[in-house]
Amino acid sequence: MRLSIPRGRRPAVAAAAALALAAGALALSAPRALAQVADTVLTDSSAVTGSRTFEVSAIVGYQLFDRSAALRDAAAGGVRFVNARILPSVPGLSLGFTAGFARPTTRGEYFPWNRQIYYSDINRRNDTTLVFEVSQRVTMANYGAELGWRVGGGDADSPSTGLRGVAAEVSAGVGGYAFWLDPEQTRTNSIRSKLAYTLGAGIGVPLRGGTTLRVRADDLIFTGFDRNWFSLHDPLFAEELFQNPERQPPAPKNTVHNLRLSMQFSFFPGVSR
Amino acid sequence: MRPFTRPSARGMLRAALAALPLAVVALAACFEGDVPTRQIGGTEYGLLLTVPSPLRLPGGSFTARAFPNNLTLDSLIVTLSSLKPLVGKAAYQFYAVGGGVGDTVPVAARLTAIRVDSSVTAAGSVSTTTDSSEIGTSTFFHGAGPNTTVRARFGGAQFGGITRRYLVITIQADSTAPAFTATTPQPVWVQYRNLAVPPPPPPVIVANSIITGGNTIFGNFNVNAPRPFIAIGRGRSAFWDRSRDMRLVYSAIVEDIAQPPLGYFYQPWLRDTRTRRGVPFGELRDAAGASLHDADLLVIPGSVAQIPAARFDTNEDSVGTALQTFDGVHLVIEPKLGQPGLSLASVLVGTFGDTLASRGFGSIEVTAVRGQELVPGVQIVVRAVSGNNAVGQPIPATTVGDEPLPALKGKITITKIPAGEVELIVTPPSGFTAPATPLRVTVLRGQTTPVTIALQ
Repeated sequence: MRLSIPRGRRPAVAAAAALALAAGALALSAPRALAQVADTVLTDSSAVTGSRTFEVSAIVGYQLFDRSAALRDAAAGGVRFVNARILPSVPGLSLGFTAGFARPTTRGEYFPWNRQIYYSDINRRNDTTLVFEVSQRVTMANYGAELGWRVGGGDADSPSTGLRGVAAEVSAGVGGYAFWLDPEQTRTNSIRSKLAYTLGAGIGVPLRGGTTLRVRADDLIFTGFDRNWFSLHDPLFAEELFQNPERQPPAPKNTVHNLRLSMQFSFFPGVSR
Repeated sequence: MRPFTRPSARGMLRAALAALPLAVVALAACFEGDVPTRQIGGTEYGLLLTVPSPLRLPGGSFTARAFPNNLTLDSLIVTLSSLKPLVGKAAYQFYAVGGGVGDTVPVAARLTAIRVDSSVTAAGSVSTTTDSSEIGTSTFFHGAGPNTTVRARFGGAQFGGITRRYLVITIQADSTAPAFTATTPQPVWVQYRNLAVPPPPPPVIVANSIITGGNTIFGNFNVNAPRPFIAIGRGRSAFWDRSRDMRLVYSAIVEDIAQPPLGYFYQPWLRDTRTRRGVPFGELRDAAGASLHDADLLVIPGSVAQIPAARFDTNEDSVGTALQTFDGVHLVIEPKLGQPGLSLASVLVGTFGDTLASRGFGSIEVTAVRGQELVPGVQIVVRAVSGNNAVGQPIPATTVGDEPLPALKGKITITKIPAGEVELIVTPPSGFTAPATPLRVTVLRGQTTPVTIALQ
């Protein structure tokens, strides 16, 4: 029997699958992590060495959107949960879940201008016309499960310090992305959601206190993308005499690659060094 | 029971790191009030384009005289205007046309040019003079300027019997090898004889009788189905201060204008009726940006051949002078073989509103002196070098005396002068002599230019 998923529901199904996968992986490590937390509560944390299984990362970075996406680059944030020991027989193999967000503004210069005609009380006619480039600030979210592989950094339970503790990692993931449009500009509550993939790589540097600083570059690949989602062009107010774009923007693409450069502060709950 | 323990510094650090994304969220929320929409350029000044009245399409009127039987043509007099002079070997040529084989023959006319010139008087009014001159007798005619009317008098004998009914004015690209074919532009015609089978009464029309007078028709002549040109359509346009420096750009969209007759095209013009300046600019393009210079050759279905939409535009750099120093935009129908120069055959016109026109004005502050003496009572009329109208306010202007302020003695400011080069017509009071050569001044828009008139 062939499983068929309606095109419109594929992102949701993919996201659900990714979440289920990540939740399962994290669930495997959660009891151990919780037990570790319980064991360490009463003691001086500096004296405890727990299990390095369940890693939490806070993501702070900058999102460089595809030039054709009609989005300006923006700050980005997010969280990442990784089970780095899903298969003891394959050291370094990891499964995780990532959620990110950003608040970019759209590139109004890619879309037609709008005009506003103003009435003058002095000569009692519409004598002033102003032209506007219309943009909006949107909220972007991406989420998904990812499979990764880490190299270096020493043994998982007794990580190396200094340069010997530096670890490299690569990952690939699947999930979804969503854009919430500005309801004041679009006069509607509108969300655009589709399937997304991620490809990423990074380097982790151990810090003091069991914390790791990771520097990562991720390609957030948005499929089924349509930049006209962000157009606020309204035929009623269209500026048709002077046409925008004045300079031809990059050709629209159905799949856009958005580079996220980030720093990730990672730690294992309950593990002190 | 486990005792409470104080969080370690490390735990606090981790909590802070975990809270980092939340902090970013909070920062992002700070931009909620930010509206990234921005105004582009400055003000746009709208201008609607409409069909003017009266129209000055190529052609004119005719008078036909018949012999008493009312079937034989004695003479035909046609008065023609707006037939723009043609370039090189091109010329207009007259043909008598009928429906039968061999009925189409060239006919000659005695041509008289009637030229009207105007000039500004010292009081600021306009006086006109009319001159007429004989061009000669010919089947060809090279056109005339906008201030010239041509009267063509045809002898009736050359029109032959009753089978010829039309006088047709053609455009011959090469007057040394004239031809009358389907591809020859035949833009103006006169039907001087009724049909053999006239339309049913009323009124009762005698078959093949001479039509004694009427107007010529402009369009595409065809002996079986002549198609008159109808000036229709509309347009919307605007001047825009794109860079907020009053260096305006202009763009127009015209809709449902008639297809030009064969051999004609639409040419946009910026015109200033006050100074008689005119600058052709750009060309008509369709929605895809293709030129409509050859729109006369298009095969347009339907009973009324129209161009659904077209655009044209320009800017100050292309025109070479500030756009707001003109007073109107004209879409003019012109022969493709026409010489450069003004034509009055406008089919769509937009006239500047006060808001825009006032931005093209400048002023001059005149001081009249003789030696060190300030001279009141000097009458000044400003005339654009390119025109024959008085411009500015007041017309005429007179330098003032000691009242109301002694400091203003011998001075007068003339405002609302269209920017450009003007000439001052000076009439001094008795006992003074005006400068021998007319004084010329360049008026700059938005500025007052001081001018000193040195009287003798």
